[in-house]
Amino acid sequence: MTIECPICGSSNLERTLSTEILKGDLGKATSYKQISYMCLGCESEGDFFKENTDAINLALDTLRNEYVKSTLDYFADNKINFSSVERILNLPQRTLTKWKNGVSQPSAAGVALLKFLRVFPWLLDVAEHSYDYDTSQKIFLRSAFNMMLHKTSFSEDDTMEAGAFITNKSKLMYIYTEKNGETLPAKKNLMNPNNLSAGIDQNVLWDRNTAMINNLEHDNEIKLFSYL
Amino acid sequence: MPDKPAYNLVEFVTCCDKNPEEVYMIGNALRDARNIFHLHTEPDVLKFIANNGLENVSFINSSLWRKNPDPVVEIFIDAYEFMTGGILGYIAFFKNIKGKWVIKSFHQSNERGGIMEAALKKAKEKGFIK
Repeated sequence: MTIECPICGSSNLERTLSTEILKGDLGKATSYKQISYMCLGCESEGDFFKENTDAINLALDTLRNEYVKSTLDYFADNKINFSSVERILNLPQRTLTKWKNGVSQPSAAGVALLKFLRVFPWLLDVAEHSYDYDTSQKIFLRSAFNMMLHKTSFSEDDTMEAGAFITNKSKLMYIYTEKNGETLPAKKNLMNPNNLSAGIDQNVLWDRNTAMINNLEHDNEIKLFSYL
Repeated sequence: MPDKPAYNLVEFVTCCDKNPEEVYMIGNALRDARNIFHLHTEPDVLKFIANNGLENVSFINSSLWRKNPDPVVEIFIDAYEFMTGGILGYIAFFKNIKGKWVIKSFHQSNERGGIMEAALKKAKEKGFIK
């Protein structure tokens, strides 16, 4: 039986088999065997007879299992109890265990939820607070500050000034620095968080280990220490 | 280069919906669909198009298919820009001699700001901006 190029009708086709890498989300990848045709008439190339769809879908299933495993392993490694997650998200109890053991498969929506939780685990905290908008914003900011802190290295010598903005709805503490600048001795005590927080409302969330922003692109910068 | 589409876009979209087996994708178009739009298979792309996935479609041009092995029959390729999510996309397709649709390109538009540029031009013409 002669096969024809569906694009131009030429029967001058070359069939090739190759291993294709399928890049997925969360940095995952897998491979599959790809059948491809090259038309020597119109120089078009592709899966002209739709032979790869099943292989791609199988590869996508493999990736989906990887996403599920990755997220559930993350929960286990970080002592996040499956039952708690199920309670917070209003999932039937043992859903995650069934997914982990392969007893049942999450839907596409379920996989998407797991991906979000793997990248933004603080979304669980948002759900725990009934998706309250204001609380969610605070959780988000706190998480962002926390993340920035881990990427920030700062020394006492960088510090030039610190202070706080307080409104009736929020409090913001900051440290202003000039990198490589000379430290003003009088400002040194501002590095002491006790000094910094002493003059402001005690309701301000103070957690020097979790909240700070540092814009590494500029020499002069404001570091946010706390927000509530 | 004709300034009007050679084909009816609605007819193309309807075919993606009702007769997907009549639509073919060139390999590069499918690879771009996968890498840029997370549409992994040909059915994924066709269902996306059929489900009005091409938002704010804007005709760009219609040009001759240069690699047509039968130069006696002129085949034009229609190119459109569209929006999806935050991406400005580009799709080019044609109908071959057997009446089958062929998606030749499906990727992010290289004409960055093309739609914005057109909107600014229109706004200038109407005197909204100088």
